[in-house]
Amino acid sequence: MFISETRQSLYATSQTITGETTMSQTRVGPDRGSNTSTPRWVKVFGIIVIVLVLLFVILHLADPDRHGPGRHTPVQRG
Amino acid sequence: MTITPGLRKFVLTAHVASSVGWLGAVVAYLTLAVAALISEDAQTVRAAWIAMELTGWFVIVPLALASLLIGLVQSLSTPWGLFRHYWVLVKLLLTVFATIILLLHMPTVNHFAGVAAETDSVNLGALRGELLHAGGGLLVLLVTTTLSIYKPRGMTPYGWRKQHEQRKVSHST
Repeated sequence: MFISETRQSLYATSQTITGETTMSQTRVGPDRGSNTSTPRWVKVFGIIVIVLVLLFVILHLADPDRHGPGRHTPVQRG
Repeated sequence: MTITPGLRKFVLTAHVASSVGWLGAVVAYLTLAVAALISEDAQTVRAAWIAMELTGWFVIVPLALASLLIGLVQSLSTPWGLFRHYWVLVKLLLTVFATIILLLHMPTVNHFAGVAAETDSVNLGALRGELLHAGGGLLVLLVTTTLSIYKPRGMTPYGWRKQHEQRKVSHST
């Protein structure tokens, strides 16, 4: 009952939103967000972000002088 | 906060224009960094650094700030909200992150552009850093653009709560 009502409500909201704000005019389907758990794409995205942040931190801990002005060796050219 | 449909369309157009413009400017910046990195000519490298500095301050930074501010106005003035849907929230976090990194990085670009203008030395490490920053920025902007187009499903707990409250209000009236 609750899910059914939620779906109908979401569908109505989505229709309103779709007509006014989408960049692609893509229709938002009736099943979107039909449960309250965190979607899989958010979890996957979060894991990717955590891995990238860890990689960044490890790279900087390994070589703290990589970043910032005046910390790179100039090479004469031309 | 609600705005008229006409104004909403205008804000959407401004948001798309600033966001896509930001993406395009980063591609141009990346092109300059690659050109400087592979060039054997010191004049080309010097010109690239100066162009990168100008592009950064007068194109990328204004477009980034415009995209962020217009996006905030747009989300708060439509049913999407700012914290109700995961895709809007992720876009906001990525845009804020990219803007902060950009603003923190621009003084470094100033420094190396100044060095390049005064000397013939070429800092390969700095140019690789530019590639990394511009490449990372481009990746983030491609992700935000993809989120805007696909609008993947998923409401935040806050979004569910708000929707539940609105439903209760509409049922009671």
